[in-house]
Amino acid sequence: MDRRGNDRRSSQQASPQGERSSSEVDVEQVMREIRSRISQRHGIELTPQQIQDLAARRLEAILDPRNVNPTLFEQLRKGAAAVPDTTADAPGNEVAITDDAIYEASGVVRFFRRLFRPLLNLLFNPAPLVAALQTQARINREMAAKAAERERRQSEWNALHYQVLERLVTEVSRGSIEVQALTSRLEALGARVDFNDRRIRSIESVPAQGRSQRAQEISQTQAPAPEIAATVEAGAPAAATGTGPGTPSEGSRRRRRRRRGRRGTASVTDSSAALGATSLAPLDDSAEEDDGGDVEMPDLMEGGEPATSSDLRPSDGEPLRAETLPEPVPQAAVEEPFSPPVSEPSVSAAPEPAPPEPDAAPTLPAGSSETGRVNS
Amino acid sequence: MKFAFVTSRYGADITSGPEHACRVLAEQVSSRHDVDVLTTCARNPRTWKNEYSEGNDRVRGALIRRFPVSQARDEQSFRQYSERTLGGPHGRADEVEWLRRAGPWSTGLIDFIRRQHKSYDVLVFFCLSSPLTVEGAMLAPERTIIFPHLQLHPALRFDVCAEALTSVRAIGLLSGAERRLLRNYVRAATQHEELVGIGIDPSPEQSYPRHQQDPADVVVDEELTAPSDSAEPESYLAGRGVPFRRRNRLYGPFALYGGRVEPDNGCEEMLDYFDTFAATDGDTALALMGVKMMRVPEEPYIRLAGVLPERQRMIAYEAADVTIAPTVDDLLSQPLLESMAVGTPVLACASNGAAVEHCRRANGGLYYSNREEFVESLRLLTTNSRLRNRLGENGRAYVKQHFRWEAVLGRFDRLVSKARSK
Repeated sequence: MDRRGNDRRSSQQASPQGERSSSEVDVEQVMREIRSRISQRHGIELTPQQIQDLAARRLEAILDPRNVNPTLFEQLRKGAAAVPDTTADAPGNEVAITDDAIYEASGVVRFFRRLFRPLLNLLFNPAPLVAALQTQARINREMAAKAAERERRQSEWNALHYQVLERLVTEVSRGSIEVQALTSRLEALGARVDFNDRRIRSIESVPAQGRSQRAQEISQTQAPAPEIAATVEAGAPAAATGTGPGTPSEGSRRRRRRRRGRRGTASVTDSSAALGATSLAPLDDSAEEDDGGDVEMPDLMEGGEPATSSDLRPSDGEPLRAETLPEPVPQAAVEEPFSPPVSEPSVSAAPEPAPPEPDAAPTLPAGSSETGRVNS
Repeated sequence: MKFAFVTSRYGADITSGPEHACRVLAEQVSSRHDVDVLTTCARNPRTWKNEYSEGNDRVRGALIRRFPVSQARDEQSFRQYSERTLGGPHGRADEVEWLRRAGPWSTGLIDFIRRQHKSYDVLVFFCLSSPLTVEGAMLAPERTIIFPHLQLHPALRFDVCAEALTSVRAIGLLSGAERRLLRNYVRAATQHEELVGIGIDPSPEQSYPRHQQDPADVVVDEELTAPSDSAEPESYLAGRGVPFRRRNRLYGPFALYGGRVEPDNGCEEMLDYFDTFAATDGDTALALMGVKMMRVPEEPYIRLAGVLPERQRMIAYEAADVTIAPTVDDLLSQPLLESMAVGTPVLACASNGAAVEHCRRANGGLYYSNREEFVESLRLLTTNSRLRNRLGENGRAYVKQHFRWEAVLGRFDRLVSKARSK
């Protein structure tokens, strides 16, 4: 066994290459798989070639033919792909101008020019003329070389600019795809949060609806129930409901007060009003008789019929957010030292709750959720 | 035949770049031919101060002739001159002056070549950006070979450089990436060229496949071989590369970096990336083997192995699970080839064209261009032992086929024959 070649994690991180049974390994294929895995992790499901094609279309959109000369764009593209000529163009048709050049001719004319050349030299001096022509030829040569060099540099700059632009557009395309993927992922996560909120609310509401019959019977014998509902509707602290007769366990009362206080003071301030007294009052009353909180889940899971999310949606249709969930109560606060097991919560052993503080918004620890608390 | 190898500096303590290539080639060629190494007394390429003593010395069969540097480099004036020359229009005289200021310039060495070049059959110059190469190659271009060691630099566009490349008889290359640079960037029409490279000779102890040292190390198909419950876990002392592991207390998987630990070599990036990798994979260590020239974070997964002699270096490569080659501009890629030679897969920086070419041609390693690729590739190499073994075998076969000294010297001889052909 290869000691260095430990297989300690190969079972848990089996990769496509690990399943490769052939003896041949293609490094480029492995790299492609690695890159595609990275892309998928980023949420990009397009291949690099597809991204390149997309970038090419975007580049054409940037360089709109209505605004930019299409031939110029095509030249730019070709210039980027072509190999620029580094050798400076030698000026063609170079004429060597000598002292005899101005007397050049053919046939009889040449003969007469030669014949009268001393006379011409007597009449004027052709040397400056020849020198000027030679100077001009040299200047032309240099200028041609400079122009060729400038053109070569310009073509290189054009190629560089085009490549930079192309890569920028490609990166922008890749970034925008990634942003789109992240946005859709964010929406999916938001939907999951909404679903969880509704589920929490359904868990809270279903037992209360099931027990609404008993709550109505109690309300007939005990007068304060309508007053409590009215108080809640008016935005009063929900904790006031715990002051009525027939008080259940003190621990569960304290937890409910916290929830109400949270609802009343959290960011979703309208949610308590939106819920309405009709939905809250039976819940409170039933809760006063039967302990809700942590111990309601087993009953619900066994016999309770969960309500649909649409049934339990608040009247304004806006679901509760995660930060509006009540603060989880430590296990010690719920279970008293002499209380029976969780499935049979003790009502009488609960401690006396602290007086409610309507304006105090309890802070929710990070990562806590109602679902987790209930399921625990 | 009598060769003259001309290089800017020469010494056993120079372990990278064209000077290193010159030294290893000269030492190998000197076993068959007369080799004179013409060099300067400089050691530091930033200052070009005369540090070695002037004169002749014979080292490993090659006669070393050292000449003093005429002018030490003034960094500030050179920078100003560079801005002026590289940033604007310039002529041939400016280019020559720039090269001389970049250094090293040795009048004695150039005079020696001018006087004595006829006594050599072939002159081999190393590094195109050296003024000694540009000036010296023009003295006897018909018998000259240049190993240009091309790297992207504005000076590559100098006319004098292109002129030197086109004038000499042949061009020796150290990697395929250099050839692409020569054709696409310099675009010099050379007369002859040959990809030579440098050779790797694993010591005899490591010359056989390490996976076949004992039956337990034979590469087997794990699906076909059911693990035996009665088999005792093999002691780590039974594996290869044990001295290195024991000395550095490396009992688990580890990646190895061999070379100078400095930011210019890509070490900063490598340490940063490895930190990300270590955050998710806590039991893989990183061993740094070489001179420490930068601050290394004090992390439990980092081991400093120091500078090791060649034999122990090969043992270290053998002990490692993966060798990381983060250097960007290392045309020789010697650590990569050494690692492949002993069957250890490599993870190379994708910016280094030579390293990527080796990985692709050999199918002996992966490469990374960003943090995520580094982490994913390293994770794959450390967790997938079958892939690691396959890559290691491929790399070993590649080096054995193309980078044994016999193969490299064969290519060098072919280059020389091209240079001497009429």
